[in-house]
Amino acid sequence: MENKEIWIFVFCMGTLFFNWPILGTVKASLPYYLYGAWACFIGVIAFIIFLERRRRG
Amino acid sequence: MFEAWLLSLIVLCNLSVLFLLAYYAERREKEGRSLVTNPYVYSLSLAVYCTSWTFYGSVGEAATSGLSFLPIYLGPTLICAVWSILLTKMILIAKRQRITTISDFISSRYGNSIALSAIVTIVALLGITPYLGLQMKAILNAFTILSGEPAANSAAGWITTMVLGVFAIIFGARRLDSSERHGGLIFAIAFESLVKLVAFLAVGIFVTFGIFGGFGDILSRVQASEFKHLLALGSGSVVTFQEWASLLFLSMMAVMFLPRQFHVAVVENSDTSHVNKAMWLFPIYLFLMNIFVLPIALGGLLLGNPRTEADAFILTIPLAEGRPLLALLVFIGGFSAASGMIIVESLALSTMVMNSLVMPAIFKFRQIKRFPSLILNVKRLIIIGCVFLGYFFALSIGGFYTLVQIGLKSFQAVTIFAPALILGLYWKRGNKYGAIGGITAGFVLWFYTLITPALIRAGVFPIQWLGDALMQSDLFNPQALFGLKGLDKWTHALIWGLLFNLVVYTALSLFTSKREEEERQALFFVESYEPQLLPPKSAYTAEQIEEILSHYIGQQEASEIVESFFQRQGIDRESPSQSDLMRLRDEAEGILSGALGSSIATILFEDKATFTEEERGELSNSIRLMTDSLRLSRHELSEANRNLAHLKEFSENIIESAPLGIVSVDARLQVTYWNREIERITGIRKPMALHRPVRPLLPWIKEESWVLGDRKELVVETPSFQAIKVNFSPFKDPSGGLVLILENITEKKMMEKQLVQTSKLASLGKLTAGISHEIGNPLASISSLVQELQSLDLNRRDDIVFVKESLTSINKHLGRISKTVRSLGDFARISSSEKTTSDIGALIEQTLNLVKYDKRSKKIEFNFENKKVARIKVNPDQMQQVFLNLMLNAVDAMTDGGKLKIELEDFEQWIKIRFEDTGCGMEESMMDRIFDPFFSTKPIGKGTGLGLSICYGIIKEHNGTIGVWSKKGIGTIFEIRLPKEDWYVRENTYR
Repeated sequence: MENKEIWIFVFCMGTLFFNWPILGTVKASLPYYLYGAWACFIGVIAFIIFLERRRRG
Repeated sequence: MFEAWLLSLIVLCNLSVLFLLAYYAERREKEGRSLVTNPYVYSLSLAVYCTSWTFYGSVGEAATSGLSFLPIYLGPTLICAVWSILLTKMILIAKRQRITTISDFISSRYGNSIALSAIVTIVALLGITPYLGLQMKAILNAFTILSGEPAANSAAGWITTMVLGVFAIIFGARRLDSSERHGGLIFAIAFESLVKLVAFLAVGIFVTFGIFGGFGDILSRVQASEFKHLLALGSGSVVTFQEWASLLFLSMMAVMFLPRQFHVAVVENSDTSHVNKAMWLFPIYLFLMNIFVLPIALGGLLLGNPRTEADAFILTIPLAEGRPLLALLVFIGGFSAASGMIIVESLALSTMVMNSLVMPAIFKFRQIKRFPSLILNVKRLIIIGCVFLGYFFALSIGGFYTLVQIGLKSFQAVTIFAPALILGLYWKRGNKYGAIGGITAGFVLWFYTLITPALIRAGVFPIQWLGDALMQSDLFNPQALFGLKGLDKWTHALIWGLLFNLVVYTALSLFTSKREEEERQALFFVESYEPQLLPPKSAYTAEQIEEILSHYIGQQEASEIVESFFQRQGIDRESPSQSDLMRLRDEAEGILSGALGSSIATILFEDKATFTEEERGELSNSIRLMTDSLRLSRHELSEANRNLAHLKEFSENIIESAPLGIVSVDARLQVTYWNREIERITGIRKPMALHRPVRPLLPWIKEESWVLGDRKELVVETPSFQAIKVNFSPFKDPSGGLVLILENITEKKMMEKQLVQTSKLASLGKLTAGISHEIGNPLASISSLVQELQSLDLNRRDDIVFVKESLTSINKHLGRISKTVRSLGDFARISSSEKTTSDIGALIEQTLNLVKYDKRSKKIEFNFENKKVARIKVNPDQMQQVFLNLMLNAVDAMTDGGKLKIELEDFEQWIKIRFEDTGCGMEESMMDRIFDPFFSTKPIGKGTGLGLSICYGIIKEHNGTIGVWSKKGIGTIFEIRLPKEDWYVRENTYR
């Protein structure tokens, strides 16, 4: 995938993970899920930027 | 509790510290040691997004509606993922076009339309000012809680508003700005972001770990309480999934298009690479800012605080727990959040109002003497006006709505810009009429669906009966427009607003035409294409540029700017080139853009009539031609791309479907292509082979064959006994590499072998008559001798002598039979495929002996002189078959007797074997076909037509040649040339 496509994919995945129906499946642990997924999403962005920077040398 | 004067003093101190920080940062920037141009300050400045709404409102929202506060921060985190695409593009465009506000950005995209810019400004002003009021309301509430005095209606409210207005002027309009960027202000905002984060984290830690036993403790207590619905979403909770999704979308748009966010993210960006770091630093800030929202809100409820006062939990909890200093820190944090927003937002709004509404109106008065001070004072008045308008909203409607309600209305308002802005960046056909129509439609729907119900409820709707009728109407009910019911008000307003906005924008763009300038701007915004024109002949002089600048920003500053430009560029002011003057003009235009807006700045420099009417016409024609030719080129390019893609797919299909293994390698012999058939031959899948050294993948190809440079072909045998013909073709490309074509010839080889064997047996059949005669004669002699021996009397001496002679004779005859049978057996055995170094003369001799058995050969004179020639590497069985076929053909051609002369000689690099008979010969017309399979000159039933074809195949495989000369009635000559062994090895490659 090209760089642009990767970011659009990450955005779409994030939108999916923070919306119905996935949120509908998480019940009692919803606050933990939301904050955990939020932290993971930030981690993914940082990791992709790190990889991109390393690729560019 | 704190005294009101003490809190006022703290507020003043806070603002003074900010001012000092801004001043220090500006001084450092002038010295070339900027504190601002780094990604951390940039990311912190983006946190101006977190206002008093975040500080107080999120806690209030969490206490009343549970998790619905979260999408406001999750949305920006999600949109951050595409900032490297979207925000970077906006920044690059804004820098190139010297854009200073979001209204400038939108109007620039649509051909610098002043009308569009004015509409965007009015929408932003009406949509955002209540948001300013929200900040005022938060500050006044906090003031009231800490001092115990009602601040909103007292002098403290007016004074605080005035102080904030004055500080906004100090930060943004203390002089007519000579730049679009405000380094000092950004540094101060970044510092405020740190203060509010520290304050929020402090109170969060106190509540979570000081009062309760951590996150788990609070959440488990809530699960067991009446508030457990606050931890859920969807059915059974306060927030539906539609509302959640709408809030996510609204906040994504808000973080990009709120005027203050556009200002800090786009206008104040000093380096686009900072965006990459902000993409994760800003979300981390949002995450930290929100991590304690739920514990504070739920903790407040668990402590028995009333839900109606939830907006103030963050202050009231520390006060109730006897921590006034912590409450004071929260007050400072909350004030930082609100004041940062007020200063940046009022500055951004005032610049929009100034550039889009005021400047076009007062521009005709630019010749008056004190014009610069006039526009500076107007800008200051606008800032004060914006702040007091906010205060007015705080007083008039602040009591009716929560912080979140007001904030979300502003979010909805800026979402109106999204279609014109985002589609404008990616769709060239979008035009000014579409943008004006779309924004107007969006605004009308926003006002009707969100503001009208609020006005009706507040009792301030101008016509009360009409308001009531609307609310009860099935079709025009602003909260269930066209009968759309069951949605929350944010989703309802978003759906209708966005739908009408998009439809009107698209329809008008499709059905109306664009001006030339719009075409050019669309091209630049969508494809970053800008025609580069040569500098015109009649550029401004440095004095003229200085004069224009001085008229708007003052003589002293204008002189400083021009001097600084010449010093920086190292140019002699007395003799600048045309391109130097164009650069100076560009810089001056950029400076005036910061003060007056890009549209006006452009007009100012165009006003000096740089081009004559004729030149303008020529320029305009040339731009049109360039645009047309570019459009055509693009069309051709995309057509060529499509064809290329089709061709690529077609070629790949051919290569993949071919029953040949195809491998390409680069100059380092690493695999660059590996097709499906080679997967089948080797059992190695494509991903395992690509970019790996080819030699270990095809180990059965000898090392020396991999020498690059020659085109060659060889046959190899794999460990699984597959016979593979490998063709090496070097790439013509100078970068080197090879294409290998591998053909599995195992089956072909097997069939050839069978064919040779069949042919051999057929030849044997032909010899049968002769052979039977050869065996029959000695057998008859043996038989008569045996009969005579049986009748002898062994007591007689003479008979004993006869017996001895007879036995000798029988032994001789048996030897002859044995030799014949051995010759036949040798010939009839199954051929081996091995090539061995052989003596061709001996092979001919053996074959000749076999042919001589044939009784037809009796009439033929065989003449073979076995000369000593070089031994060569051949398959002796196959070679014998060739010789036998040629000899038998000669015998067949000489039914009445004749002569067969066989010559063997060394001829240069060949061994030449010549069979010359004096048979019936052939027609010349048959000569070209005699090596074809199933072609025979013999009568039907006498020959298979395969003999010579097999000979040809065998000789070809030995890299030799076979030729024929014949004349009817004279005879036929066959000549075979076989390469000598040493030459064969060296020259098995061909060029």
